[in-house]
Amino acid sequence: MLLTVPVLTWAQNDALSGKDTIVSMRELHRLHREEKIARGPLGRRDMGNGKTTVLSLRSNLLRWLTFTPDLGLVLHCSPRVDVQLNAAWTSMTISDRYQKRYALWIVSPEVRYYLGQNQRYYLGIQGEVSQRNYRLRGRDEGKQGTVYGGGVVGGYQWRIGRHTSLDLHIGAGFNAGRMSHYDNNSLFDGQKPSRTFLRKEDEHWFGINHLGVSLVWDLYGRKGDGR
Amino acid sequence: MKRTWMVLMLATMALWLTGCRIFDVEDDLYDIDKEQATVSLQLFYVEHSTDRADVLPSSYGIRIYSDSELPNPSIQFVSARDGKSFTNTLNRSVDTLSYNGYLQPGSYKLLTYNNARGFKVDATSAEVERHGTSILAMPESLYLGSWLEQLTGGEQYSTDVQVRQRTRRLTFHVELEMSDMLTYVSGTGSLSNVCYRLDIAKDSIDPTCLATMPLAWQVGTVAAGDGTKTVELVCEANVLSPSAAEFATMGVGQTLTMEIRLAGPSGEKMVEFSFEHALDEAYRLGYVEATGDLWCIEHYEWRRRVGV
Repeated sequence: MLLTVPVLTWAQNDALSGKDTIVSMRELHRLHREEKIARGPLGRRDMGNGKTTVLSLRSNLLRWLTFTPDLGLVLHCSPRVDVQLNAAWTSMTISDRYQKRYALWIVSPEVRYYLGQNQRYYLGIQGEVSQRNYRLRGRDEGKQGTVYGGGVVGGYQWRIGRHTSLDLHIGAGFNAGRMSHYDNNSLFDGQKPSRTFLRKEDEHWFGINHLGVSLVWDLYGRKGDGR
Repeated sequence: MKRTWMVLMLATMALWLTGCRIFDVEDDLYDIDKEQATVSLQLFYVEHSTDRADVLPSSYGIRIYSDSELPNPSIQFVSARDGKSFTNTLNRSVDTLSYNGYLQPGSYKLLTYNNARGFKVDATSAEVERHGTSILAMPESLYLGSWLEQLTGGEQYSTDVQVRQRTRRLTFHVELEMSDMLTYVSGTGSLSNVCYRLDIAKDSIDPTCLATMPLAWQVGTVAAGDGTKTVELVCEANVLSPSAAEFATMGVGQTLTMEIRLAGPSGEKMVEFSFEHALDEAYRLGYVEATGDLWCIEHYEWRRRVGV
């Protein structure tokens, strides 16, 4: 099958320069594959059109699985350093007799340093401030409060498309907050139960406080070689 | 790229505009001592029959609805005056109740009424019991007060509620003038065009009207004449009323239909007749002619001589 190609993509244009402009589709695909092998895999910030990513949008898919929208912005400051600001929010109430609750917002800044020639592995530090409100099981007390935390984070990120990357990350550190414990009691006989205060407790814990499988999309790039 | 930026900016703006609510994930927690929290209610009987003091309700219910329960509330019967939780002091027209409990901030509707037999009361209406296309002629007297308020919260809360009598008792007198050869055996009848449903929210009567179930006639005085005698028949009806000043008849004419069974030398005979009148008009006339005590005007005399 013959095809006339009036407008060529960047890859086709490179491959066909100086040749006839009428080629078969199968030939085009072969040339494209050969060109990709010759260029090697795209670099972490290489947008493939001669531009280098400066700003990316990211989202942690694991949080979406818990019905928690999660978005973040990544600023690529230098070839090996990224600065991120991530945020997530949800607010759910199950209207049963216990009024189960799952609500939170988190703002989490992070700085990463990419290692190795391909800049796929990275290490970083991250902080976190959040408000949480949990009452996941009926008979348990609910608790709510503001939590601060931070720690180290590491992971692996690679290109899965021309403008898309996949990022696996895990972090460990500490979290601390002053939580108000509550229960559901009637304030007036016959009245619908309300959340009644029980006590305040300082809580802190060490361990894994960061886990994610994130998609990263290039938002904005500038001319230059990102590899 | 421009499109991506625009979408991003719009999303950021939307997040910003709704931010106040979005970031409020913490709930209000009530840290109160329930034993110290008190709701006090003073019920004022602003309209009731002064000549029938004995019908002031001996017990009544109080229901409190929050905004989220309206307009289809899960009815919550809080307590009754004769319940254990309330303490009260009853005098002629004021009843004071207090209750340990806390009403959290919000809009509430309170409804208090006596458990009058023959009435069905919910958050929106009070309705005389119906049987098919007829209503009860003699439900018990209904005393009802409602109150709607936005509360800002507080452990001590008190308010006044005006309670009004929502029924008017009518007494009908019919005089039968007949030959002394005849004897009254039995009588039945009904009153048409009586409204039966009170809209509590609007505090007005639903204009739909029905006839009452059969009225119970009793023989009153019997006066002997020259070859004739006069038999007085008396019956009562208790009809819904928006206030003490009006009848629940919406200005429509009523018809009192009677069927009287008389016995004579040639056997029993059925006599049918009816009276038509607008009760509200009659009531106003009665008011002018009465002693001036509005609450006493309950008896309506409907006299007519019937020759047989």
